[in-house]
Amino acid sequence: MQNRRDFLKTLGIVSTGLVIEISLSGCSTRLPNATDTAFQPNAWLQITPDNQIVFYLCSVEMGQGTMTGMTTLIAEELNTAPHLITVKTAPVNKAFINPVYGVQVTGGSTSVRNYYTSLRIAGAQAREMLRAAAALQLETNPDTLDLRDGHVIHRDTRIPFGQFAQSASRLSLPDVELKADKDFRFIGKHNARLDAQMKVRGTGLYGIDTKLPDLAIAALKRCPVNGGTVKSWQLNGADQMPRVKAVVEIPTGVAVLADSFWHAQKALEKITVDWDLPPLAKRSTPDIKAEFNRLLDEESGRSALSKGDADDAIEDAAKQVSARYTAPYLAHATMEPMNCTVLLTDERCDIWAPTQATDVSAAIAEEVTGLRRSNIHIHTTLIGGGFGRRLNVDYVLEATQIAKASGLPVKLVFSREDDTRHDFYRPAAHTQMRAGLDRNNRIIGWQHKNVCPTILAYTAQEMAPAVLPAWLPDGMVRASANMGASLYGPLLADPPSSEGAIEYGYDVDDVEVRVINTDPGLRTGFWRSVGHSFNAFMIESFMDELAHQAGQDPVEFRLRHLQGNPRMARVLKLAAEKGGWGTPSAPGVKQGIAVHPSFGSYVAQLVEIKVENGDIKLHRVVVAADCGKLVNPDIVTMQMESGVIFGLTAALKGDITLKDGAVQQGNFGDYPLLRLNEAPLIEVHLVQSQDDPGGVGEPGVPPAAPALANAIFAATGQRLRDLPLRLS
Amino acid sequence: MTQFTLNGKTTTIDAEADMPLLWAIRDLVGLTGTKYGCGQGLCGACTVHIDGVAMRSCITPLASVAGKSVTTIEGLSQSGDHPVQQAWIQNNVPQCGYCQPGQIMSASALLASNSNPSDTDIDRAMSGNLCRCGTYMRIRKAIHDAADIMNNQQNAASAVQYQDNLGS
Repeated sequence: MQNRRDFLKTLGIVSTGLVIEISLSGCSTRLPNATDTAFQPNAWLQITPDNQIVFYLCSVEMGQGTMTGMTTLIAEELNTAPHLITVKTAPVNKAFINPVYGVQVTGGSTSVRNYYTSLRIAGAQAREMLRAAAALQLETNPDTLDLRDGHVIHRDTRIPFGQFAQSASRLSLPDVELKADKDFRFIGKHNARLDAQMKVRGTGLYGIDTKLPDLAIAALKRCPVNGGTVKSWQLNGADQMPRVKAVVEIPTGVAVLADSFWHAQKALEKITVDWDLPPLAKRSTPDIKAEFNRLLDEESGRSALSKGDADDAIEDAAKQVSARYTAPYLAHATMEPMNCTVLLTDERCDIWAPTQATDVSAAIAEEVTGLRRSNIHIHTTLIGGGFGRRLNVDYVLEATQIAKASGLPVKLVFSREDDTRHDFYRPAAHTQMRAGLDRNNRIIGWQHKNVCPTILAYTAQEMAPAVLPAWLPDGMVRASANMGASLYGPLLADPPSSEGAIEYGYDVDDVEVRVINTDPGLRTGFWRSVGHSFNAFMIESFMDELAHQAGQDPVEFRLRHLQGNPRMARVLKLAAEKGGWGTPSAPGVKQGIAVHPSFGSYVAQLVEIKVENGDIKLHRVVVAADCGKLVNPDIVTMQMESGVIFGLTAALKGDITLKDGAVQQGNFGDYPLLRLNEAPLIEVHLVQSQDDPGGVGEPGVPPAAPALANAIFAATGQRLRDLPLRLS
Repeated sequence: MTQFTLNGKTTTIDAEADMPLLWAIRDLVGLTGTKYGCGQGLCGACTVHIDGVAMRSCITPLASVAGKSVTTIEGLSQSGDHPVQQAWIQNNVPQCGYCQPGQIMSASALLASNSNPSDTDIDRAMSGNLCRCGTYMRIRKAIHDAADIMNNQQNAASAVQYQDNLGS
């Protein structure tokens, strides 16, 4: 067992200044997903004698604004403006393990809501220790001292925090009181992003920008079918091409290392490879869809939620309604393609990676290099979009293998085509919905049955050999169980397939959610809002169908079933009111609406469209969101805007298809994204809530697709049940 | 061997004529503000100015810029205070930020030729720049704001000129 001092040394946090460690045990925390294993020392804050206030950011910044959000929490209690705090990315250490997941990952829209209290305690403890140290040094009563913006204020003198760092570090951790909400200077008010300047100047360094002396840039030829491995290959003079440094084989392909990515790609074109093909090579999209439909018809699946007796209730209903919906596989298409830079010597391995899975990266490198974990150093860079893609670490694995095989410092870069064709995809899903309406047109009985590949299998498979033994020594079974439990809480048996379906928010006594897991063999992963991304489409499209079957207004119909869910009802009403439900904002405009709870937040969206010459034109989207207490309101607004565009892009355009196991899309020509000229106006209305902070990065995505589909029905009478939405 | 001006400095690159300008700038010169997104001119992340015009550097052969002036995001302004950069900050535009150098280079080229762009002008100039974070609405607003900043600067400069003329 490491003692505290060694532990801090391994963190790389110098112990000349004040280092605040927090033990969460014994604190009364309000972590929404706290586990009883959450005894974790934390080491976020350092104040140096030269008056630097350093915050070690343990979540990664990938656009969601966590750098600003988490710094705001520290800043509030330290009573020091966020821009006066130096933010550094945290190294791999158990102190920085995400308390929800048990691994050092950023995902699940968890950062601000998990750390809302613990980071404030960290800030408050620093504040009170500095106050106590200053009082001793200045021989005065601590109550006479103010702390503000990096200074202790004593009478008319402002003395920098650094003056008291040494003596404060000798004090023991005090019990602290957190600021009252009414005294907040920054929480709920601060909006300026700390990462904005470097991002508009082009000086922010993303993974792909990593530079090292004599760095070789690698391009890798992979099997067109995911999971294929190299059987044999021919060089065909590739090593003689200009500026080529090396050609090496790794299990997933053959890599060329050169002075530039272009030179590497040019040489790679020469190389021919024979592949050992996986069973996926026998699968194509039409047969996968047929299989999903057959399973829906023939199998009953496993229960994910069973409340009352939905079947009986529906049988007895005055009216029975059913519909089948489908959603395709999707790629993440982050603007920064996957990449990773590795500097490997006999003694140590340094890795620069834009990754959401920091310690998983270290574990992978440990396995490849055989070095001890303490000699592996992960440097997290800025991230050009994550959306869940970077929770998988295939790029770290491949880059480390190439570094080992070549003996060169190397940066592996995915081409856009590599990135699209070697993703961990949002799983496809086919869903049978069934419900009954009674004589008063109330829903009695609700059945939701999905056919869907699992996600967890691929992530666990990727992590298992290297990671599980390290963080859970009791072995695979418990490790896998904890992994599943931590990621999906109540859903141990049925991973994301039913996420969103089991949190069904309407007042219905008899509800059944069943899942049939099948896997054609295309690897799947976490895609912004995960299971919610398709289940919200199924649920909220079907609610619209039921409203029309009942002859009722879709908003009124939903509200009649939301007596028991005031937060959901509130955002639905707010979106309807602010968006002028029933009175479209321009001639020819039609409206659709949807509401969905996810990641501790509630979001409703009213979508306005025009259909002209068979084209769907997005006119306006009005968002109402209840994300609990807000830390940076404008960043929450930004994430809602972002979620809308992300959700609408998928709803209108997203479709990954397979032919003989190979992904058919490659670049933005055949995997298009919504463009500026196609984007709607977006208005965001945030509820001023006193509830605990909810997630922000993902909850804006799920309602977009069903709200759009419902608007298309209003405009054309066509009920589109298959994503992406295409008018016939 | 290609010689051109890069952010005001004469630059010589010893590489094939058909090497894309993007990779020459990034991997051989070492300026990484210009981003790779697609390699086919589909996403705009690699946008630079060539003699003042917004161009996709990923499909621009190195030899074609011989004797020309190339500006990247690093050379857009001395201290990151080009009106477009100011407006981007004011409007909290960047999220992940990866596409933003390209967005800013497209927007600044637009404003250099059109000091008061309409929404249709903005659609035309900016639809080639993808943003996966969906910052489009803020980009549109920021371009209008940047136009105002530039026009105010222009007015201020004219006023100074007028005062100088009166004084002389």
